Amino acid sequence: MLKIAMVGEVDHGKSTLIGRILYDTKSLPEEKLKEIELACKELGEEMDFAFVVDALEEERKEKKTIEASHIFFSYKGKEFAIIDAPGHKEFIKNMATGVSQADVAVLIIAADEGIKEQTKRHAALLKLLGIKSVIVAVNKMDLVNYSQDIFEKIKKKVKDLLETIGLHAIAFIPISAYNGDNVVVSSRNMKWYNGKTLIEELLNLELEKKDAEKTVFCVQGIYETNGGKKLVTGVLLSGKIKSGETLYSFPSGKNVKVNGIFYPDEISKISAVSSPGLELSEDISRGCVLSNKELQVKKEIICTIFALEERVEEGCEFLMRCFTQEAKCRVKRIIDALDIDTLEEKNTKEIKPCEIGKCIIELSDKMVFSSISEIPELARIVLVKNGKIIAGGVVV
Amino acid sequence: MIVILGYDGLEYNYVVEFKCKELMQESFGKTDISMFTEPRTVVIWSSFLTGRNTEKLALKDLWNFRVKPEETFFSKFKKWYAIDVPGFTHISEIHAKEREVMKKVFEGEASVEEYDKLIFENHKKVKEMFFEALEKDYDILMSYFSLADSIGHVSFGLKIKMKLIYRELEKIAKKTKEVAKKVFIISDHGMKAVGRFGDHSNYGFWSFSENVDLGTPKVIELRKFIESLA
Repeated sequence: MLKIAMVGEVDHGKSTLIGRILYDTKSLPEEKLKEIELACKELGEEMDFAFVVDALEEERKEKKTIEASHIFFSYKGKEFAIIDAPGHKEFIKNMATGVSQADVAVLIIAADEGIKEQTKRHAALLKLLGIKSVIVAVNKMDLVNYSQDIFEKIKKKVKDLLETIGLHAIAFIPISAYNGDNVVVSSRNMKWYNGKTLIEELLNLELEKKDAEKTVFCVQGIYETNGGKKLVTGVLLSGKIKSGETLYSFPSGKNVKVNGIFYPDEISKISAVSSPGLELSEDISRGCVLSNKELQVKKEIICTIFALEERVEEGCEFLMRCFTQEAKCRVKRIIDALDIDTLEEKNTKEIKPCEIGKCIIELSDKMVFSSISEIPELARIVLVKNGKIIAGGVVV
Repeated sequence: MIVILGYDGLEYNYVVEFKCKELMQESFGKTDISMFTEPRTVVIWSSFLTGRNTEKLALKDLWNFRVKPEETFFSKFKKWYAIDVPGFTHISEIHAKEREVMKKVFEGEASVEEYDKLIFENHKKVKEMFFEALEKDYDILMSYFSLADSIGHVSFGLKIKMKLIYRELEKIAKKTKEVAKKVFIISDHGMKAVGRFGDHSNYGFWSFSENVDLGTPKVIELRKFIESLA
């Protein structure tokens, strides 16, 4: 499944684009749509695709699914999940806490407005969160008479911006989500554009293959069954687990034997990405990471963080969460901070809200980390104070 | 010109949730309809017009009950016009047909689509009459729109559909404000979701184009306020 993060300035047409994709890929509940279509027709309104997204939002709330921040759809045999985050704070919270790990980001820019402050911020966030594949969708082309000239100008500016940040866009697509140009269907209004539609770009995108040999299992909880067995539950992020094999338990590095696998009934082996229950030879606790290979265990890390509502200063103490792990921590040193408006680095002892900065953090206990390209879940962190997420980031 | 937009079934909570600025206007709130045994459309509208509780009289023959102009706040104005106001100038055949098809929807004998089409058709007729009247020189003009209530009864639980309906009511209010000096918006009652359907709630909605502090007025108290605008 390809996970897509949709990011863009408010009013640049994110909801309309999501609605259009779902509509044109026939991924909407037909009955409900019929009533909305009739109401639009009778009231002389154009079908508003942003409304469709609202409708799905309602449905998700009703169902109270754990995947509340995802919109699923499939097209031509491939499955997709759009990560729906209303604002950059929710976006970084979801991304950093591991709720949503996007494989690709679609950066939406309205043709009639061009690059805005949020665009810069979003681009910097994508870089921070290690998203390598970025598709730039220049939306609302209908409002600029489908002008190639305007598209090319925006493309150049965005390209320069992304390069400054260190990102590379795999495609620039002129679209009109409202009219459906180049989203799923090729535009008749922009014959000058010979590239792929947005959905074609997404269909062609290959996911980076992880090291299939490396087993990484993050422990979420320990439960006692009715029969008195202790079951360790968690998420298998990578590799396979076979019944009878011996794994390392990090951060201690001790050996543990897998006596049984339950998913939900007993099976002999299981592959990523699953959430099995394991019966182990040794007692372990929540936050432990099981692996068949060496993992990086650290008590001090360098990370890039994005401050949300409060400033992060040298000496500040937090609770650090990294997927299922958590430990107390202290900001030892702020290395630098990036001004989101100018994208200039500055030397400072604090990272203000909505700024991105690099810092050194000391932990009270050892934790397991990975590079963002290998196991992103073990590279993303959040800093929490009094139950509130203060900052999110990535281990460098 | 003073214009009163009577939006049947307009729900306070949806107005706020959907951020309907044109409906909220400068000041807005809930109305108190607790003096009635049930939130009945004809009773509440005729009570609003007359400033007295008409329940006992109206219940004798609900859909044929009509108050006289001299009993209403319209008597304080020289040139007035009231379009389709229940318990006063309502167009019986329109509403009788709507009630009949609604009953069929609940009994599974008519589709929601069929019902919606009828409601939208009637809404268009009333809207046309209203915009025509808006061009004339009245001191006070009142028009009743049953759209939110009629669609709400079968679809109040489908928030997205209701959002479209509220957007339509906002458009009417916006266009009205381009012409009228003062605009008062009032609903007889709000609605609450019962699955996908909707039932009357026990409060109404009011808003005014100017800053006033009406609090949560009893619907019968609003006659004085309307007369004070004369």
